[in-house]
Amino acid sequence: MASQMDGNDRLGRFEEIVLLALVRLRENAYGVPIRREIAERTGRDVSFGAVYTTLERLERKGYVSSRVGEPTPERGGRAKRYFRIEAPGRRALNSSRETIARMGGLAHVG
Amino acid sequence: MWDSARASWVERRKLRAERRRTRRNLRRAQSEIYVGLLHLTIAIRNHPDCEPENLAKHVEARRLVSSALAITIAELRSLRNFIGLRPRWHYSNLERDMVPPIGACFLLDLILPKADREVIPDDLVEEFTTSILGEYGVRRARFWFWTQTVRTIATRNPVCRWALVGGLARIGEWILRKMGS
Repeated sequence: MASQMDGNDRLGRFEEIVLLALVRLRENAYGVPIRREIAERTGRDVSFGAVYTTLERLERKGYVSSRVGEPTPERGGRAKRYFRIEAPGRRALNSSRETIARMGGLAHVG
Repeated sequence: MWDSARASWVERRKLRAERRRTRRNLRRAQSEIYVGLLHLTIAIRNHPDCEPENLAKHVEARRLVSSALAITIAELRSLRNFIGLRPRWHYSNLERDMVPPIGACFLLDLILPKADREVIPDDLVEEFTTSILGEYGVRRARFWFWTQTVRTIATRNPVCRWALVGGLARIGEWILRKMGS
């Protein structure tokens, strides 16, 4: 059971980046700022499709929750879909970062 | 007499060069002015103080920007007539360029799954108008929109993804066949 949990908790590189973007953006995390944050900080021009696919996967795992916001006039009366990182997501992110930190001590290259 | 003719020729040449420079600068400036004013309008609209009680102030600010835009267009037109610049494109075309490509929007609405149709096209349009247009200029921004559309469709629609993979595999196969023969 424990090993199964560990397997499910493992995050991909892009999943980790998306979760970190959600942590940074807090309440204002919807498609546009998430993509912009990732593009600015990693220098990668990611597509909205890739961002939403990852967010959906994280939502299925229970790491992220989403809600539809109020309709806004600047989007022609359509609403934004806001995302929020949940407690299991934070735990998975912390665990993933701790693993990297632990490995960092051993993998001293150069 | 020779000297005066030469001086007049030099003067005319200088004027022609000046006119060419002005035309070039004007062509460059008019799209930048448009994008700048468009951004100002968006900034006013998205300002956090845009609450109902401040609405009159914002409406007034937007009216001022609009009138500035109208005056700028009139000034540019008269300047263009004065220096004899033939329009490379009409302002209506420029205004058309400020909105994302209709074909791409249509494709997104047609192909994306229903749940995505509510969110992704609007995100793309928002990014296009608030950031990409000012950063890249009209042509590159429109190209960006098309690439994002294709990438998003390829990621979000499984049928399209497999069609794309199949198409790429066939192209690869064809190239290998050609190289082999």
